[in-house]
Amino acid sequence: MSSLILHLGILLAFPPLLLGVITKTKAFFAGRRGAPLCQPYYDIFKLMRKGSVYSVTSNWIFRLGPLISTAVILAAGIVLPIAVFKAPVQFGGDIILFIYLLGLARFFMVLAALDTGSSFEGMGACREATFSCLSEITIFLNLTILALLSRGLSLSGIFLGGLASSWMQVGPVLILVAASFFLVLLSENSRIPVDDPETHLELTMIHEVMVLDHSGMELGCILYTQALKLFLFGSMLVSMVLGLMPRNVWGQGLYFILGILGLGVVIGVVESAMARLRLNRVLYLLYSALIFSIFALIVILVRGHV
Amino acid sequence: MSVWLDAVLILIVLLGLLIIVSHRLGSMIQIFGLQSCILGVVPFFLYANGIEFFIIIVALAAIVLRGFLMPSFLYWAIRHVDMRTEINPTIGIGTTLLLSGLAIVGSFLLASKLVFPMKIASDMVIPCSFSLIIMGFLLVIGRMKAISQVVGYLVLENGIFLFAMLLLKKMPLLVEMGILLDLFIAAVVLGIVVNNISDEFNNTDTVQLTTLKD
Amino acid sequence: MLLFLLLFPLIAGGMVFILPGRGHRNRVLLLVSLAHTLGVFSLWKSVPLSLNDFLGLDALGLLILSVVSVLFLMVAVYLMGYFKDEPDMTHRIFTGFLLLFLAFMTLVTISRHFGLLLVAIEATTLSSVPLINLVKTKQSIEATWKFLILCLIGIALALLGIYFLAVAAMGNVQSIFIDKLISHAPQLSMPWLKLSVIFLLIGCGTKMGLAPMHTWLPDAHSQAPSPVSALLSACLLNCAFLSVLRVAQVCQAAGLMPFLSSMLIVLGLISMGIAYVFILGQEDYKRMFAYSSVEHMGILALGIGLGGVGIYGSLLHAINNALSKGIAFLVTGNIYRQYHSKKVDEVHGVLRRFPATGAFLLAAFLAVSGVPVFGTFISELIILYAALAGHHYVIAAFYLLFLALIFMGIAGIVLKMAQTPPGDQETDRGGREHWSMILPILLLVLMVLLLGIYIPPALNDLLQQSSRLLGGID
Repeated sequence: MSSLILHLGILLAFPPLLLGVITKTKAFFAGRRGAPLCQPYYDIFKLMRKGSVYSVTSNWIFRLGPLISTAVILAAGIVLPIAVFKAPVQFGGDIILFIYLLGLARFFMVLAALDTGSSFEGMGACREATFSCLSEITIFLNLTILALLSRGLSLSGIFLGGLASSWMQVGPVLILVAASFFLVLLSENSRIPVDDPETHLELTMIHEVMVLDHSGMELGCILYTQALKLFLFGSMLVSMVLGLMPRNVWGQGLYFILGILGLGVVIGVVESAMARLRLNRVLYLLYSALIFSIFALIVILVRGHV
Repeated sequence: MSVWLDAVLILIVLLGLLIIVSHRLGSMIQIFGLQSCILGVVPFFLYANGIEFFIIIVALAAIVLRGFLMPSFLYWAIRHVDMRTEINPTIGIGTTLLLSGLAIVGSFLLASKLVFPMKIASDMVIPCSFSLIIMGFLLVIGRMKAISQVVGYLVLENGIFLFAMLLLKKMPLLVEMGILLDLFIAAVVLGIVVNNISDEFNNTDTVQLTTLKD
Repeated sequence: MLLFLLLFPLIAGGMVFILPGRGHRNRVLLLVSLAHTLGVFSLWKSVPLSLNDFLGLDALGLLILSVVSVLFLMVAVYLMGYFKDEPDMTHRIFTGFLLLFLAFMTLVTISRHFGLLLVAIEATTLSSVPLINLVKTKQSIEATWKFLILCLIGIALALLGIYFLAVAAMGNVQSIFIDKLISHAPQLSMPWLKLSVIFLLIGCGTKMGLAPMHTWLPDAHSQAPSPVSALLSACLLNCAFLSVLRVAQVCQAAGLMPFLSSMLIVLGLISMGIAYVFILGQEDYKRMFAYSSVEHMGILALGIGLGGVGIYGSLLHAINNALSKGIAFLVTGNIYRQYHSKKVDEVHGVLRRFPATGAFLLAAFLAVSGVPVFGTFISELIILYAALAGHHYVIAAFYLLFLALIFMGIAGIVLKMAQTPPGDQETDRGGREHWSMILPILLLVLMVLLLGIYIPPALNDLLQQSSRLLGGID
């Protein structure tokens, strides 16, 4: 029970900070002082206290969508180990549950967007669904590779297992997986170069367009969910790259925190350095991510490191 | 050592993918140059514990010829070209990418069926060279610009060169130098023709080369 | 003698670049090709001979070399009166590269090492580029580009094939000299050899113009000056065919012939089919003959693929085809000179206006489509016999079908050109044909006719020897 509370505590408290780090990094590169690190927290609290406005054409699914997706992503967070803490819920094959929970959250967001009846939001939903088609396969493949390497079928087994020794044997392959993971992370969490969370330029927005009609508490939920999802992906990437082991809690925990913050900085740097890609070239990015993981998978299968 | 070699090989294949994705002629040429330079390093890893003089020569020749001479030559060939981006390839960039993904899988499966009669430092050399060959081939048949086709041909040659590395010790130097020379002649002639094309047609687009057909 | 054959044209070609005077250059060209032909025929008694590990001449090489040499001589004679008002520099480059082209084709036939063979083939590609691109028009540049990029890709793939061959030979044989490979063939590693054969076949097949890698061929043949088209079709394609034969020799020794045969038969039939599709209603008479080249390359591949007596037929057909393609393209040169058009619709009444050229045009048509009395008929018949003897009835049926269809396709086009009444402004007799543009064609026609009724014993010997090298029966 205590582990569950600890886990939920981390999931609730930590994610918005990651958004703050990214914003700060971007501000640094733009030569501004930027918003304080805790700005996302203020935003979320502010939104939570506000009332919502609903269009007359929308019904309950519009109101429920963001709440469900928040709950579902939280549930996904519970099967994922964070830093050195094993997931409170774990069983063989929870990889699949994890991926489908992510899919479920997206499904409700898309439904909510369609419910507004606005063609604009429909377009955003369509884009989101299209890109996720590719990124979902890629996540699947990546987790499969990691499962093959670490011989664990649950997320805890994968990320807290023997990835460290795999780095010795098939380091280059794991770099491929990490690169693929990073690309998927950018696309799934609507960061530059796939999507720009800051602007509201109609032609290129993806995620932001989908949530344009939400306000008040729902928008707060969406903001938090976004941060949480980024945190989950980041946590997977960092655990994989660092090859964490469940001993020496404090040292490994410190590594993890530094890793996550470092990831925030890296994303910030990428966002400052790159321009958003044209919509049709986003597809090439996702294809590349897919090919990276196929490449990695085939190397591992042929090599017989399984 | 094998891990480093693997890393280099993977990097080479990824640069091949990058060439496919990039739509500017200039960046295609640059990435090709980079790929060739990295390719030139492969023999040092491959023959880490038995580097001989001629291996160094071959590697250096590859780096200088493919990595620097050829790209600058291609740059020279496109100096008059106005349209420096590849528009409307016959096989779309996305399709080419997915096909090269398939090519990588196919190459590994094929290579796993073949037994090389000698011990190699990494069993990824053969599949990676196959993948490069197929990628080059896809570029040649899928692109409209003469220059893109040349780069495709050169990527294909890079793949063959990678395979040739395996024979470096067993087979005489003659073959190796013959290839480098060959490649050089090819580039000169291709450059002259590309130059002719750009003079006649004002850009090196093979789309406009469609007067001859049945 | 071998070195002489190789170096004489090479040195002469180099010299011609700096030699002033069109007449001098023409005489050098004629002299070199005459000496080359005489040299080649003086070797007929002494095959097989080998100079060192790399250079040597066997029956197959001699066969192709003789064809190349004779055709080159005829084209050299033809060229005496061909150029009139081209700039001096163009003529200089043309003659120089023509001689280099001869030298490299000689090298193809005498190289006994697969690497050297490939280098020689590449050299023929490169030296023929300035010949095809002689008159720089948009079309000729396009044709050159296709020729170059496709042949380079083909050669690159063949190179890969040679590396695979080297890997196959790595265990015991240790080198890729043709003789050594053949004598140690059973010790080669089979999976690598198979892979190597596939790539070599694709590579050399591209150069040989086998469908579906043939797309450069019609463009290059139609855009090159006619004498060059004749050389490409009669000599270069045969050199590429020789490289396929070298692969077949190794396959034969290694017991892989069934594997190669099936591929050759498929490629051969596809080539014939594609040639038919494009010959039908062709508007450009040079392209028509170019597609006919594709067809005949298909027949050659088919003959080798059928094996047995088909190999003899195929080799004989290589000679016949070269001679008749020489006639065809030289005649198109005459026609183009008079009509200044490659369009079938703009050429009328050749027979009435230019009786000699008209007669040769008909002869070319009959020879190319294998009508009795001409040599091509005999060789095509032998290949048909091989198909029937091997109980390949379906192949034989397709073969006959395509031959008949192509005969009709070419007949429609050529008869229209020869026999339609001349247009109003064309009723006068055009300029007279220069003797040099008649004589070589006449000689070629006589040779094809001769081969149709009588195969000289020396040639028969050579053919049988070559056929035995490939495991065929006489």
